[in-house]
Amino acid sequence: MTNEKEVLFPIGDSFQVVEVNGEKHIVCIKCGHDYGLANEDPKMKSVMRERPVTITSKWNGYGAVDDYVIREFYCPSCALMIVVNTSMNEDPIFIEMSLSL
Amino acid sequence: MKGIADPITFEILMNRFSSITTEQGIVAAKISGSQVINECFDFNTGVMDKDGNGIFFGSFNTMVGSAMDSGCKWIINHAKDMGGINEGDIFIYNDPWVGCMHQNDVHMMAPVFFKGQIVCWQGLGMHEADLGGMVPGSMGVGFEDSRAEAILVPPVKIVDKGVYRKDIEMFITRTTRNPISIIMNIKARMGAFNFARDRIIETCKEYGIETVLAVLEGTIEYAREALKKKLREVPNGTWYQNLYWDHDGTHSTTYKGMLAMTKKDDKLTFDFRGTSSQAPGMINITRPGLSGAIICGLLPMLCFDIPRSAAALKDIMEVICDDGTIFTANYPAPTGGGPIQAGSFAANLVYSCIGKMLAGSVKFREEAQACWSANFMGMFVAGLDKDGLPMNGAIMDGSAGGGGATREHDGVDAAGLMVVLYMIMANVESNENIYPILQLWRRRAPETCGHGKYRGGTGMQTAYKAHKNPIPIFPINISAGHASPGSSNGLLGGYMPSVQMISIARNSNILELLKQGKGVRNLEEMTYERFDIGESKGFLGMFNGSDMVIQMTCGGGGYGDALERDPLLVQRDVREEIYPLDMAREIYGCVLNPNTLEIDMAATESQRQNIRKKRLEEGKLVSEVLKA
Repeated sequence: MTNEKEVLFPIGDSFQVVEVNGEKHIVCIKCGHDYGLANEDPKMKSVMRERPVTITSKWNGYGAVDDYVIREFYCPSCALMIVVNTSMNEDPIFIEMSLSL
Repeated sequence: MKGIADPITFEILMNRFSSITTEQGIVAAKISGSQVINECFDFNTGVMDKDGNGIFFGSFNTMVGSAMDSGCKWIINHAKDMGGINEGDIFIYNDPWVGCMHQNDVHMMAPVFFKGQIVCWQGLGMHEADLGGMVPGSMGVGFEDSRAEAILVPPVKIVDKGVYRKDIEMFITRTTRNPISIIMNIKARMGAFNFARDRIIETCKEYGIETVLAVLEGTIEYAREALKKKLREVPNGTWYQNLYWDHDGTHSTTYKGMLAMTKKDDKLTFDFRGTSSQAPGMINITRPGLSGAIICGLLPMLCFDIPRSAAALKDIMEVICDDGTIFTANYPAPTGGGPIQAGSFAANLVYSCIGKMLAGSVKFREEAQACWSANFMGMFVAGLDKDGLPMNGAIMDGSAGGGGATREHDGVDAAGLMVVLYMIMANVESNENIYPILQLWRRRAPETCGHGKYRGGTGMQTAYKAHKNPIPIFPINISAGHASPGSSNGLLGGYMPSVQMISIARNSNILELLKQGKGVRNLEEMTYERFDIGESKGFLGMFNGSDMVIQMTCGGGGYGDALERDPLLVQRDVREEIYPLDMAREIYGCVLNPNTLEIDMAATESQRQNIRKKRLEEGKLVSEVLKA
């Protein structure tokens, strides 16, 4: 058995889909961190931090500032930001993608 | 393709019909006397086949054209109740449950006959500034019933076998505050139909009707197959998006839109289950409107090189959405703001998912783009013009939202709207000619773009005051994304753009400054008594000569991690006041000298490392968050 990875295709500048030992995995395009099987959402295996909506613009402070939160999702190894969601506080984290390869 | 002599003839005729669709719009715009039509292009054209299938629609306001085929099919299905379909007939309607986005979009449809046989249908929808109802502009806030918003006209014949129905014209114009504009626009559509019909008949004479019919049907097939081919080159999967919309026109309530978009081989399924129930206020669209909104979300990234055929697009898509949601409202739900509310909302959801999908395609990932600005920020004004005559209409500056970023470049500043490809704002001089206002500035709005490796385009800030107005001006704002920063979003680590904003600086010293001959470029150069910030929708309070109205649209979404942005681009942004120095440091990790704005590369590298470290220190694994 070898652990050689064959790059199948990139997903933007965030991920690559690779084949390892006959299995398709999603890895970080920067550091190669393995998020797991390609049909599973890498966001669910990332690191998440919640931040106030005012960090990106002073104007957001005039809106419903207490109702919303920015959820930033990072690669657990190199901290590359892979997804940003603006969500209502009480809403659960939603799935981002699920490939069927 | 069946019945077509050769591919060259097909190509020539397909492009000729595409050109006829556009020319029809240009003729209509030239005849129309309405600013929103002849200068802002808030209308669209279409050509449908004999069965009402959409072959082409124009590039003007795609949100207007994308539901036109539904209206045409309705007419064909109900023709027996209207005296049949005859040569010289032209139908008119504005019923959203038939095939338009809201009552202000008045559609006209005409069959084109050649030697007694229907060749195709022409369609032309235009935004009318007023169709009656309880408030000027017919897009009133506070109403819980479409019958209070504007007159609802199901398809009727405005021209019957070539005879103009003056009684129908009188019936419609009696309800409106803008009868002259309505009549001119009816005549503009008729002129455009005459022009386009002559071109179509000319083509039939030149090539024969069999060839023309084969080309029209072949165009749908061509567009469908081109789209299918494109889809087959993209990985299969499901992509998800949630967005939020604030204020329904009656209450400051938040609405949620949910989409799971599945691509399997050459089919797309749009599953909107989980989306909020229909609203008591004007934000809703109907089921024909939802199909149109999806098409608007598909066009820019996926179909820019494919004929805009609603039939082809509908052939590759399945829509799952419960009845009675904000995207599938039941009669008589209010729909006055439909295209700029739930229509834009649905299109933004689609656009977000298409961006994610294309990012995973080797061939098309360069096309992947973040969502644009949330929606059109509608500012409707009424009162008396400089000559003391009644005036009402929309100041279209709210169409200058920011464009979404891509993996290769920033979004375009004050680009327009993704869902309305060609609609633009009017010239300042034109606004000042029609409305009793003086526009003080238009400029890129700072802190409105979505940040990212490539940032979204900025929104636009525009300021105006009442000028030579016989009476105070009555303003209604119809927008969204003022309270909710989650109406648009970024892509693959890019941030969402800011909220939008409408405000009035009351009793300012603007008159004094102007008397002194001073140009005013921003609010900081003025004094004022108080600063009123409006909600997403509502009456803002009358404004007069010393009150400054300031509209700010939001920008587009960003693409990629902001820490990956070239420091030179950050430096340029700060110099151009796109965002301030502290944001360059905290969001982009870019350290600039506060006096010279020179980049400190070593400090930048260190700051970026610190931010990355902090991300992991302060963050938690999602799996752990979900367990908790």
